[in-house]
Amino acid sequence: MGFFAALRQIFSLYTYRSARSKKIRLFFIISMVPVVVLLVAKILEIAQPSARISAEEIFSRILLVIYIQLLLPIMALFFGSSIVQEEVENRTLVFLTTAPISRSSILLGKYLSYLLLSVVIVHAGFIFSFIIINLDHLGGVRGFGVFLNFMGVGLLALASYIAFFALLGTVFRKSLILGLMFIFGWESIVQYFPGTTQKFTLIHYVKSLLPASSGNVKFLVLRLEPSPAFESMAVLIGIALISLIAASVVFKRKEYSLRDNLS
Amino acid sequence: MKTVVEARSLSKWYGNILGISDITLEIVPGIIGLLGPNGAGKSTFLKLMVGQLRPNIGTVEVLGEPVFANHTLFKKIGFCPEFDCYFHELSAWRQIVFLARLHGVPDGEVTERAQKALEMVGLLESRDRLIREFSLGMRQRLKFAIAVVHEPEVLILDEPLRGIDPLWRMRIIEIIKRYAAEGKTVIVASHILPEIEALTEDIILIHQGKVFAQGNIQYIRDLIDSHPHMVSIGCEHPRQLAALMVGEPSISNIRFEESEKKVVFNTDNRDRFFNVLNRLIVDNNVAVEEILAPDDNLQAVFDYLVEGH
Repeated sequence: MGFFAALRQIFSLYTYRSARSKKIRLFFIISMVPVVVLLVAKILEIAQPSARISAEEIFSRILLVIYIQLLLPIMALFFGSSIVQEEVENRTLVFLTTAPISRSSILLGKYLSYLLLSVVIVHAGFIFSFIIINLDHLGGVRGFGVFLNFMGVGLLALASYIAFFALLGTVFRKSLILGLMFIFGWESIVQYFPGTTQKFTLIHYVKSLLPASSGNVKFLVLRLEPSPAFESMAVLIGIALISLIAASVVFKRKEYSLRDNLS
Repeated sequence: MKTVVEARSLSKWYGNILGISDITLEIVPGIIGLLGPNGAGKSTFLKLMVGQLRPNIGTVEVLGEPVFANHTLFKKIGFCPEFDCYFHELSAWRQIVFLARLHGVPDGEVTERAQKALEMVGLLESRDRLIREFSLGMRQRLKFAIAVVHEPEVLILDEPLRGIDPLWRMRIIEIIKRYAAEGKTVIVASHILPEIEALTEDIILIHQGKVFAQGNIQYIRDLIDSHPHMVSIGCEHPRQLAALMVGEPSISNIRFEESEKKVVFNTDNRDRFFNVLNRLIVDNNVAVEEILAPDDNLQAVFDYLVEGH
């Protein structure tokens, strides 16, 4: 079977399976929590127009942080690291790797499937947030360009994070732990280092693409020395591509020990 | 006859643990039984044959091609692994269709082939049930159907009859025989001698990662019959049964396990022992609850042979 035909089969099956999985439901529910908070804030804003802080500010100062710094990398970690590891743990790897398809098509098919599903979840949160923020002036929506920017950044961030964690999951058995250390250790700390050190994090480039000039997102530029947008996009795309190529090479050559190997 | 599988000095270990060591053999079309006790290295050998593992030393070729990282070869190989490995939340139908497509079955034939494979193992009516609702026997049969759905030239089966009820066991044995009769190659690994006996006379004995013997199954049967056996019989009155058997020359020792109402016989002549036992049980109407022959397995034979060497 050709590479793209195999990729299509894998993509279809895993999208079908994952769309019904508990993991997806859980992430969807979690991603809706900020939306509910925003809705409450908006109702309060409408009820009490003199409130000191608007729903829009709550979104940009708090909820966006939750999306960009927390939900998005964690979701990417769970999806990316599971691309190979869930097949090893469920022992379904044997069915996939004894089929006449290249291992790269398995990896890429699953990657695209998980990218699609995670983008849907994150973007659903963004879209609902956008609607809620504009609830009281639906006739003349504002900030549409900024939300489009958020969605583009979300897509790029997920693409690079999932690919990076896919590489981790392909190489290491305990990739989930390593990934959590990466998110809450390395990324959380190093992004605030001055100078070029912060450029050794993915989150630096993700934040650099956010509308830093907007007064609403000043918190995001705290101690951030943003890289140019083009450079940030190139780095994120580059990391995604390099991670996927490296993961494919490793996946093709690596033996995976299923629990029964010693028989 | 063409060589289908060729292993040369094949060795595989996991860290410090030996999987198989220095195996050199050739397999030709037909059914070949890979026999050995648990942990002997059978599954390791099979996984090397289907490219799941890479040899540390030596080579293994299937149909003249190296296996590891050679995915195009897998169109000609069907593999039924020993363990459960399903997408449990899918229906049997969705899983077999997906895997048939992955194995390159043309779109126009997928439905027909999947139906045929499921029908062959008696699962066509259960095709829309989720796999997690299947019994162990049904899952095993599905695994077999998946292995044959693309009609491979080489069928590699690891303990394919495990957990299958006796009726379906017989049917699957017949299916495997028919498959081999079409000129294809079937390699079956098992640690249960009667299963292999029912399938083929050509066997490879594997023990401690090495090929212990290769040839006709009668060889191993003779070994089993000739080495000392222990037979445990559970019944209401074990001493009464022992009294009936006590003069039998094929018995070398008798002991009781009172707490479990069992009598254990040691015999040097298994066939004669069972003939006498059966006759006495019938003639004296002894109510027997169970008869266990723990030595009547490959591990016991191998232990016996290794001790003798």
